[in-house]
Amino acid sequence: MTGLAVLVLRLLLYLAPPAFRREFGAEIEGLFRRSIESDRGVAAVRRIARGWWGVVEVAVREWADPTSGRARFVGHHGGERGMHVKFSTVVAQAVRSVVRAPMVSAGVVGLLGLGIGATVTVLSVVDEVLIRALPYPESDRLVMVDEGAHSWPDYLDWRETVAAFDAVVAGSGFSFTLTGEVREHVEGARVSAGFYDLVGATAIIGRLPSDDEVEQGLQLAVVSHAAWERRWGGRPDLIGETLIINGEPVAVIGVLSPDFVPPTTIAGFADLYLPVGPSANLSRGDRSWTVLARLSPGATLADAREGLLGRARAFADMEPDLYLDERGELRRTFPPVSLREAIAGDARTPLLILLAGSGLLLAVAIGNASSLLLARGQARRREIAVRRALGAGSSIPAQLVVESLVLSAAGCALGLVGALGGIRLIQRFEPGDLPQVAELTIDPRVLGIAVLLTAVSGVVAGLVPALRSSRGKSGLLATANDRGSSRSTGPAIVVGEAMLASLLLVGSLTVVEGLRTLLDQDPGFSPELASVVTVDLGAAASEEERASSATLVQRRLSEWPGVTAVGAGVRVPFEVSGGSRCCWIGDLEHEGRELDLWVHPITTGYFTALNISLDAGREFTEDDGPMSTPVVVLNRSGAAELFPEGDAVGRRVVFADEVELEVVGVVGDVRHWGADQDIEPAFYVPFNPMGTWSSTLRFVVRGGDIPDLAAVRTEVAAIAPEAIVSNVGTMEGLMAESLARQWFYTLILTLFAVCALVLAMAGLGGTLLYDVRQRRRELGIRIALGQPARSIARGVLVRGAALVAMGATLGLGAYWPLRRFMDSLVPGMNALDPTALAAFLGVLLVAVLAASWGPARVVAGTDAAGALRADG
Amino acid sequence: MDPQPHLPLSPRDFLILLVLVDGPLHGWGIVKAVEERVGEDVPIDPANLYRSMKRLQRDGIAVEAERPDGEAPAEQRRYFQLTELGRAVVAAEASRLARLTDVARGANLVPPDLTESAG
Repeated sequence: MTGLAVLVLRLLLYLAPPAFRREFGAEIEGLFRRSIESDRGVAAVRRIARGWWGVVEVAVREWADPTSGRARFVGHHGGERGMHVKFSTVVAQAVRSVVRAPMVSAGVVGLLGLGIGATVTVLSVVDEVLIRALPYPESDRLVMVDEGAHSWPDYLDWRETVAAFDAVVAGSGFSFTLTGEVREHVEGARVSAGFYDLVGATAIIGRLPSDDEVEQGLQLAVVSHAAWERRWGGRPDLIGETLIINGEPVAVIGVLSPDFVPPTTIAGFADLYLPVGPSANLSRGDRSWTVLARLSPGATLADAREGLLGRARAFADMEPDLYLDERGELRRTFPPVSLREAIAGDARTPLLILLAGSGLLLAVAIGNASSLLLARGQARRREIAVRRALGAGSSIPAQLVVESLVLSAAGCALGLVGALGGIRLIQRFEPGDLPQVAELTIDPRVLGIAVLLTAVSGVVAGLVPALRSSRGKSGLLATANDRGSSRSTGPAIVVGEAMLASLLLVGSLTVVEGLRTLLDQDPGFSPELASVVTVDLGAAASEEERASSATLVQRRLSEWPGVTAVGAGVRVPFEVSGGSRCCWIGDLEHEGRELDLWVHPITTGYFTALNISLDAGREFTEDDGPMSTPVVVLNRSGAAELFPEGDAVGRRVVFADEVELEVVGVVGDVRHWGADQDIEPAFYVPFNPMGTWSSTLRFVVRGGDIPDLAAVRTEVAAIAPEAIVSNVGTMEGLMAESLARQWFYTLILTLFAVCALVLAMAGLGGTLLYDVRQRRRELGIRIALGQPARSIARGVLVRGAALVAMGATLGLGAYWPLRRFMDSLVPGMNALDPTALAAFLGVLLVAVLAASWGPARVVAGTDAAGALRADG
Repeated sequence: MDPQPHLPLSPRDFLILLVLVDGPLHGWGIVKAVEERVGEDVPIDPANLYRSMKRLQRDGIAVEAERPDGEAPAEQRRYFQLTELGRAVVAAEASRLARLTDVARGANLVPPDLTESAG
């Protein structure tokens, strides 16, 4: 409880002027924490309430006090007390009135909290990802050359020739091998001359390499601040030390300032920066560089596009094979995009839709709050009429608005707590589309918008009841008879809300169902109890060393207690996912049938370790090496296409038009590219360290208790010093990651749907209640004339159900055209199947019953004589 | 240094200054001391306490004090103490209240037992 109380206090502190918060915020928080920890029960609650209220009071006074921060000695206190009296009377009256109707007040606070919370959450993300300026100098002039990575010669050409750019730099993320006491991987980047200048990076100790040094190819390393602290304990004498990177000595010359983040389009994360230098491949076919540029003053994106297109044509003249397709058209036009857009990437559309959705939610919440207040106004007609008769007429609308402002302020506090929770959720489940959200907090500007939204919500929600109260006739008798004059807009709002809720509900049920289907789908292997140990056999090691390392590591892992099988592949299932495919496609041919299949180089034991079924033939053995007859294992789909008649084992296929391979086995299909991806034909070949495959192997270890990274690393270093263990994980972890995007959107959509449903229920309940209260006299007469209250209550229920049914129909209709978008968001999850539909109708029915229950109870409890007397 | 422009003190400010007469205290110390001496008649919440301290410091009545030895530096706590002016102000306020109490006593408004204990 303490934590939550302190959290609310911390939020409330944002109401105070920044200078005050900076000076005393931490102290106030500490004292508050201490004071509530010193008491228990009611006394602690009293302290909490007093502490919160004190902050609000102080915030208002600090803002209101014109002398705040300036020296002034005389007459100070008098002014302050005057302020206090005014502040407290207005608010206290509103608070009293709010407290007198706890249910309605709680409802309004909850609704506005929901709307504000959702909006602030999404707005924080949108602000961080789409609006806030990138942390680079003149970031509005920075662009990225699109269409992926580019060749080094192309980059050099643009640097010299494109007039619209006044600086062009290239860079790319790299994984370096650092040799020290142990050998390890370090994520880093290679960057061209001008990079540090373009992104405004500075060194806090040491220096950055000059452009001349970079051009000359001097190998000088710059270390990120985080790496400096983590890896080198913040030692200042690191500068000037020589590191062994990829087997070469490299001098460290500087440490970057702590606030520097590399553009994610170059590297999401980098500990070490090295110059591009001589490692650049001068072939135009090798495209590995991200190219960033700064527009010349006055130049536009269109100028840059023109310039780059001109160069694309020039390149095509030089090397038509590479730059023109078979129809003689340019393969690539190198369109420039703003760096902001490039970094936001695919997140833009879903984010803007979320923002629109949350705005809609807030609007609906305000509408609902307004109708609840209207219903309450109905109950307060006598009070208002009395006050009007006593001459308070003109102040009543203002009083009602202040009441609703008080409620919305409370809603704002609730919403901000909710938003903090929402942001945590997003950070926890975000599938990697929004790398910036890791550092996300509620920014003061977003907070300002929240306060603004609160004020607007408060005024708007209170306005309708206030206007209605001012339109009423004066006099005690005017109360019950003006029903016909003001028809409620409630039913229309309810239909709209039900439509929105249905839309979101169907969407979320569909993705939940889709996710369930994906999770139930057989991936073709068993991820349970399987660990994955990623080992780099050493890029610099000789082929023999790699081969022996692979064998030694596999043997050591299989000796681990409890381990039942070990096998390795260059790629394991689900490791590359989300629709991207990697790395090799091989062409197999058999009796005129030719097929492109995925190639998976694997070691012995791979199928057993992953529990992939063996349909026919055998697995690879130790004897299937480079010296024996070349062999291949097909997956079921590949075998079915190449050998439709069945008997694949023992037959021969021709690989890449030259090598003859013998098919020794057929194994079950595996969803190699992720649970949401299709099965594709593939074949397996024995891993050959002398081949062109990557030097990294992923060992799948079934059973046993694989220890943590450090322990495995020590073990491996003892037997195979050239090899580096870069990661230890589980197959289940890979599987979860491969569905992260589905989980994320399911979560978001479900949250939104639940919010919308709650809003719709509140709207329905409020509208029906208003209706019932307004018809109280009529209902009293009907009951007095003998109509059973139960039948009237049933009528209320039917009316609620009819409104919701209308909205639901509209919502379902609107969902239909949106399915395509859903599919682009989460592939394979757009089917509206009967289960989801049934669940939807069930939820809706429960919602209608729940929302109509209260108003129906009011009817059932109506006492005929009382109802007639009350307003008569 | 004339204490008069700073009078009258609000009850909260008076209590804070009163407990500071004995020496420097941090926020929690002030709250505890006030509660021990006068109960919770004038509750002091954290935000209002620091707002008062801000104002008292600005007016030169209180200043931040050195952290006493033996206090863990990790604890973020500010100590406050009275200035010369502060002592004068709290004394002047006490005299002012005493004079007012005398007036009330003259009108038989103060119960006898309280009169005795108040001395």
